[in-house]
Amino acid sequence: MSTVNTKGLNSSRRNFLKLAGITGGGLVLGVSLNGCSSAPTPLPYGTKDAWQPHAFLQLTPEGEVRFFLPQAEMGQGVTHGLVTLVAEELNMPPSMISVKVAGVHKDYDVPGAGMQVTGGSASMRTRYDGVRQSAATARELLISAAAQQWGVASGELALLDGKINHGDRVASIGDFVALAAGLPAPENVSVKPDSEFRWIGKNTGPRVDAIAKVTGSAEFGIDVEIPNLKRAALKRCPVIGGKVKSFNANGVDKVDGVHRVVSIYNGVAVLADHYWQAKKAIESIEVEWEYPETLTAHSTDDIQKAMAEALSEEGENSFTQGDAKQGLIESSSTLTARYSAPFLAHATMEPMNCVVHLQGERAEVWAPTQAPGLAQQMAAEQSGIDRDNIQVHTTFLGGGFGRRAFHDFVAETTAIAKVTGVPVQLVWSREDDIQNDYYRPAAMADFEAGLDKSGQLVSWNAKRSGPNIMPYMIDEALGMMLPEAVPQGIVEWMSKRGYGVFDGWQIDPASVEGLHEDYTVPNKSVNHVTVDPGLRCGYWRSVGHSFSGFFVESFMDELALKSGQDPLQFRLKHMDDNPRLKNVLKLAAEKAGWGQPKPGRFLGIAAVKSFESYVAEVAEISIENQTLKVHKVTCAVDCGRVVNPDIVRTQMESGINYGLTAALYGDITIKDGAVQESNFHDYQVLRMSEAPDIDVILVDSEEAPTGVGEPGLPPIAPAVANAIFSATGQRLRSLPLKLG
Amino acid sequence: MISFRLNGETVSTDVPADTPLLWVVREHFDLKGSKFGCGKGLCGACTMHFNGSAIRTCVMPVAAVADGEVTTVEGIGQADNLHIVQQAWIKHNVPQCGYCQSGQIMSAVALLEQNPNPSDGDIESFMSGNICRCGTYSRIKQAIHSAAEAKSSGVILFDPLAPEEATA
Repeated sequence: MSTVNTKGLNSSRRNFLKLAGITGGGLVLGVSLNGCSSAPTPLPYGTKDAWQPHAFLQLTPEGEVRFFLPQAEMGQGVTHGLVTLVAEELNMPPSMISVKVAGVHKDYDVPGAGMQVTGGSASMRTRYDGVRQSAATARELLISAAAQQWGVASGELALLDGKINHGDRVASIGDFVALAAGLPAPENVSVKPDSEFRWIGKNTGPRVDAIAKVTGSAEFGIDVEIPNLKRAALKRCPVIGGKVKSFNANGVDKVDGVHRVVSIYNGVAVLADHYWQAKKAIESIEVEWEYPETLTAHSTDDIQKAMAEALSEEGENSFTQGDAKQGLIESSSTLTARYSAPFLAHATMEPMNCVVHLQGERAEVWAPTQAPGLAQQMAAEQSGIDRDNIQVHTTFLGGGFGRRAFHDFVAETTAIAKVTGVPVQLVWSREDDIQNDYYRPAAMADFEAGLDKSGQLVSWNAKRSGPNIMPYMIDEALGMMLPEAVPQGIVEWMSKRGYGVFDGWQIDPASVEGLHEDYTVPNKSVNHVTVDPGLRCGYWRSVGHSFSGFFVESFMDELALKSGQDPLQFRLKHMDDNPRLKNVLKLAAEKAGWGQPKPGRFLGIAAVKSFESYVAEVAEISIENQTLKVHKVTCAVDCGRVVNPDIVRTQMESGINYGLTAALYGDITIKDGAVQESNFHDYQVLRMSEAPDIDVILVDSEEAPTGVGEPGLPPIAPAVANAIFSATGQRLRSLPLKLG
Repeated sequence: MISFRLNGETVSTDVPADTPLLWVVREHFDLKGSKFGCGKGLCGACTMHFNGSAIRTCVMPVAAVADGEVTTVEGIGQADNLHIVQQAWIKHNVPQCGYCQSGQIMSAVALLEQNPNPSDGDIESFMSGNICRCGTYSRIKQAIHSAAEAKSSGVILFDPLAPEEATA
């Protein structure tokens, strides 16, 4: 077995990536290289029948308000959250506003990101001002139009629940749409003052997507139907990245319902009238594969070994403060520990799927996607059709968690549609999904800290080894960063070299985020060594914090023990520069009864700031007959202004349960490059009987709102691991947590 | 030709007998509420009722339901006529991504038919075949308790026509 080659992958050339800064939660295309276009591109769902004062809003003469949702709804409640902002400014209940997911257009780009993407828990943080501003502008225009039409002063008019009132006179806002459409948009419109909020900060219910989701009528990607749609299943190489050398269809192309058996860039597809026919047919096909060299040479054991060996290298420095080496020398005691975390699959409930209809120079794509512009780009690369001629329809997502920021499933579907010439739906099996993910990167880290005589930290040293997400994201996103004039073939050629071309220009922030930030220590040093066996990696709910939170918060517990201090008090002593995290830590500890566990129960605590939100959790566990049970999690969250309290609670619950699955079970293993796990029997996920009671405390804050989709996750694994230590004296330094 | 009753109507199909009921219902009868999640009966997203019992239809050959009564989520309640379990789901703000919820609801309805007043333990054991990756489990449990109470008292848990309220 060869060892993992890290040569040349951690050099220090840092210039090129300035054009593509990647933050923990997602991609930020800082510089647009697209050429200037002379005429504005029309909005995807524009209509002559309605007034569209802003890309976000359409108002019809009948008084209907349509909101174009610029973000993907994958369960996190962004639809209801953003509709609430529109409702507030238009002074009408959220339920009166109809919602359509926006198509691809630069007007829907996330501010500062240069593309449409839902990730990094950024939707509320980045949309709060813009959505309110656009709705407030529409409101002012409607009132101006009514004032003009009725010959009264604007100040005498009131807008309420879709109507404009002047004394006893009442008319639908629809009556003023035509006039408003011709008025110049006012500048510097004021949004509603916080004191007048009618919906923001309250539980407005039900969620605007709730009725559809309890009646089975919500349309997910897998539910899309278009005329003459054929269904496809795809047989891929057991090792991701393998190609078809040759195949034997074994006569399945003659089976009733089967139309075609075709080879595409990564496998053999069967096209049939119905999914089951396609699925059964691919099982009989024999394929001779050309295996990818690097990944096929690796298995979990040698990857772990290479990551461990890499930690003896100096690595690249990603952060320095003071003199961490000198700090260690001057410490009265020091402590070292090594932690590790495995590769993980996302396992969204809805397997990957896509519908593609190529129509000559144009195309339509239906996809559950977190980044419709990237879906468009993938379809363009595979079909040769210009991006601007490809319309992407984003459906509901049956879970995202970062998986659907990558669009291999769109590329595959487009490739099959191109070679067969018919509208195609590709549906992945669960096995396809678990074995062809963009995995949460495995990670290993060494920590060394020094304490002074009073038990205060004076030096903090962290070094992480493992693969990076960045090269895989660049493979995906390069086409969007280049001018449209660059031919798709060249884009594809360049992007497939993303690994060698781009990795090593700088340290991927997602590889080191969270390794030192939360605590005040005078001397710090964080280093990184890349070890990449070639298993593709992606954004997985809370990204780098999903492992760094476990590492840091476990190590803090070890340091508390080492210095003879209570884990809560020890943390609080090092949080003077982090008052909001300190606050949630105190709140969670107090509510959970820190220091006074019930008989037979044990508590563990952890706190992590991620994606600008602050979360602390206390896990209450018991261990009987070597069986761990997590009974209760007390969680305190500060996410600034809370738009909808119950949605924030649901997201904390969701992050905790998703993180608990990873803490207790999650482990993707590799043998000769092939992922060994395949379905929910060997890639277990938390079930109801294992799910803890969760008590969420919300901090009442007037700070700007921040996201909640991910920040509930990072503290749970260390909180449980710390509770296990309290119960057993066993310090578990690897995920998933296995009682010894 | 295989015939069965689907949400109260008689339907028939000439698909091969081993075709899973899930795909017949989704693609031949165009009812998309029941979802594909694992294909192995491990996750419950495909749950329907067969003669009143919850079954995993991704592994149930259509021949096995011949002449029987099949009910899907579309058959238990609609937007203007919600089942008490669907109302409870809304009241407790259960669905997040929503993909597993048709299956969860069908399991919950079957549970309450068999056991009108289930304990936490009864609920956990009956519902443990239904996976939710958004982690809505504690709300599902509360919603089932609410639905059980409402069923016996006749209380409406959610009325889509009632005016919207905002509560702190």
